[in-house]
Amino acid sequence: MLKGQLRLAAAAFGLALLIFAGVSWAGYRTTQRLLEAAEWRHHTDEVIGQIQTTLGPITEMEAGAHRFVLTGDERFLKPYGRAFEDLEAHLQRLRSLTADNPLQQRRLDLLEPIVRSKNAFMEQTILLRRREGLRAAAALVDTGQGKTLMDDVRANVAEMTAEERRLMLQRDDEVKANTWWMNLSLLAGAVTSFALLTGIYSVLQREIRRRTTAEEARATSESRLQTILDNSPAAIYLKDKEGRFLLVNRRVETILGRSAAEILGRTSYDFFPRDAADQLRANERRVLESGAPLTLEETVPVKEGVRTFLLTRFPLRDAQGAVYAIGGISTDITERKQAEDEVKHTQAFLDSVVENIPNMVFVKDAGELRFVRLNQAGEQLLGFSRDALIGRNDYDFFPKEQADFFTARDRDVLKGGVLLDIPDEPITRKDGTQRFLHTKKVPIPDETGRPRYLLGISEDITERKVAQEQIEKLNESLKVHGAQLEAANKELEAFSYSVSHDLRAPLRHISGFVDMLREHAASGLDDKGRRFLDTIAASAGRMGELIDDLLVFSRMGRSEMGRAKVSLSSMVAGVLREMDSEVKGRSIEWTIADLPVVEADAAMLRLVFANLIGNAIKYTRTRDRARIEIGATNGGPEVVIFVRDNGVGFDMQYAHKLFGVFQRLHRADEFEGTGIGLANVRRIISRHGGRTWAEGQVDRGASFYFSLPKHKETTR
Amino acid sequence: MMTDMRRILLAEDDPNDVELTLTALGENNLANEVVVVNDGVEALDYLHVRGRFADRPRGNPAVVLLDIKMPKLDGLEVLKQMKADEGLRPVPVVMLTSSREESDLLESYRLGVNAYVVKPVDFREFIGAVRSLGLFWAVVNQPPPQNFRKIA
Repeated sequence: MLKGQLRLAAAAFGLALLIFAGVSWAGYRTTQRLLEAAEWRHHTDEVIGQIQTTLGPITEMEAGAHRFVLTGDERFLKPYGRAFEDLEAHLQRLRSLTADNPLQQRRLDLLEPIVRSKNAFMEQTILLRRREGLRAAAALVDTGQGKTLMDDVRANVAEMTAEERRLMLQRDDEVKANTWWMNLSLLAGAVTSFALLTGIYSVLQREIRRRTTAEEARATSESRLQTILDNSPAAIYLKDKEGRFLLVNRRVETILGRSAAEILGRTSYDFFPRDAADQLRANERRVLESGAPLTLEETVPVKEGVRTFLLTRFPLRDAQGAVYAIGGISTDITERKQAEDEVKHTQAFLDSVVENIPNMVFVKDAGELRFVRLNQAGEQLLGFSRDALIGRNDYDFFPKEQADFFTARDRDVLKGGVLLDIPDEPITRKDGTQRFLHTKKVPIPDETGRPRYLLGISEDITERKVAQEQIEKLNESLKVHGAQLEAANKELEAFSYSVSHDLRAPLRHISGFVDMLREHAASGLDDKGRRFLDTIAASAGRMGELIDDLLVFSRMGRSEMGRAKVSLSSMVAGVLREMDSEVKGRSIEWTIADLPVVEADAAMLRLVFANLIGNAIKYTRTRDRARIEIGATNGGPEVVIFVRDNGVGFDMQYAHKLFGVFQRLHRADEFEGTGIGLANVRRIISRHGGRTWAEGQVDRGASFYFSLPKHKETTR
Repeated sequence: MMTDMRRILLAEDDPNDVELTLTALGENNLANEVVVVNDGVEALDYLHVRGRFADRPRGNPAVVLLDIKMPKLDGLEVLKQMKADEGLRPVPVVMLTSSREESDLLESYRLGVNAYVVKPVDFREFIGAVRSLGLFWAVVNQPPPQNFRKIA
């Protein structure tokens, strides 16, 4: 449109030029003609003058001749002679002046003979006057011949003058007509030119105004662009194809910590470590090669530290479409990136938590109850992959009655808004096998508190259920066994009781009556009789001891066990204090290590130490210098305590008998005792979950060990 | 009145034990103060002054020595009924028994026994124990006032 207008303006201008040239030419031509016309007029005037001039001498000659005739004075003939000569010259001149006009030439041709005839007549008259006098000459004049000739001349001259005048008028008319047309065309040309030029001016004016406006707009827009550039929080720059900065905004200066002057003309390599610069340059090359914009994240060290930028690079093209520079916009997204990373990290963490929960975790949307999430354990449990499951609901996977059940429970949860615990629900897997689940379902609300999702966590309790059933069966049979056992225990208790009560009574009686007998019959008995009574009493006493030991042993197995922290060191110290009387007069070298604190029944454990230490004291009785060592090893999962002596020892082949009830490796007259002590030790330690063992060699001492587990472990 | 107060009730079914106990008490000049019953029912009859003891002189014994294992009604039951009876509750009761059973001990103390003595097998020890008992409860210990019963 604009171009068309300009082209039109150019054409109009050309036309105006053409018209101007035409008008100029026409003007020139008109002037030329006017000049010509003026010349012609002058010529005509000259011709007319010449005609009159030519007539002059004739008239002079006639007047001279006339006067001579009348007077006969020869003096009057003098001008005549001069005029005659002039006449010839004038005629000659007239002929040359009218050479271009054949009509006048012809008229001249007619005039000349008349003039000559006139001249000849006048000569004749003059001659006649001279010769014959006045009368003859007057007669001749009176004939009128001269006058007629003169009239002819005059007529001819008038004709020629008229002709010239006519010609002049004709030319004037022509010039007038020409001038009119000329003026008209000049006017038309001027008007047209004026119109055209006005049009062109207006077009140009408009163009100029447009350009001015455009220029102003450009200036405004440029200043706006500059403002944008300078105030943009993003780094904006241009680079040439070699990667040199062509333009940078303030942000770039801030980022690089240099002024624009220091940056322009330099490349990334001048501001970044080689690795980073390589990376930046590689990306620039990609843009150059592909010619397409490229957006990516780049992490580079800048003045403010290592920052992450979202970088958009785009090619700049010249008019021919060739890439000549690269534009870049870098937005610092470090914080956003960090936040994103954090979100990603949190997301990944939560995902991995959900994924790694060893129970099935599923999420359904609250509306259609379609699965939106299923974890790994869920996939394994159901046999369906999450891809298959997600987006569908229970009816797509499970038998109708199960799906009905699940869906109903889901609706309950979403309606109630609280956790629902379904302790036992059957579910059919993909392969058709059935599992039992313990499922908990909770609603997950959205921002407004309305349930948005349903979260379920299911534990596969199939094995436990089977085990439970087995346990129940076992329990049933155990109940039977238990009842039997209880009966047996009752019996045993009754037995113990009767042993305790009934068996001791006869012994007491034996002992009592032996005593009474001894007093009653003291005088009637000899030594032998008294010895018999002593033996009866001693046997009864020993039997009493055995029974008491047996009762203690039995109680050891049945009594309630307490558990408390027991310092073995102080316990051993206490036991040793009680044994003071037994070690009186003995030489015993004690080595007692630091002993640990254990959890045990203090009274029972005290009995253990009393037994073991008592044994050590007893079986080193034969040593001049007894050595007894008490120590502990506390490395493994149990504490091991030992009591070691340098006493009489034992044969290892009987070691297994040591801890049996009433088992003895020595005769009663060597070392007293019933053989119940170690049996009690074993029973107590085993009730604590520990072990007992012994090492020894005849005559070279013995070591007794027992262990206590560190973890609480109770056996009844 | 004084004689009543020094009386000892011995509930013991075994005649040998009765003889031994009496011998032991006799050695300490306490034998003539002892009333012997052979089971729990008799013991309660005596204490409540009923049955064959309906005519006995009134008043509670200074102490009751109870064997645990007795026919009909055992010692623990007698103890229980005594401690449930307002009139008998103040009467000191000593278990004199062969049983060292923890359960018997616990139960006796739970029911409010005043002492628990295990009969030693050795006769000398037995005599010593019974003598201490008799002396303590029948002589040393200040019994509850007798008008208690009258009020009841």
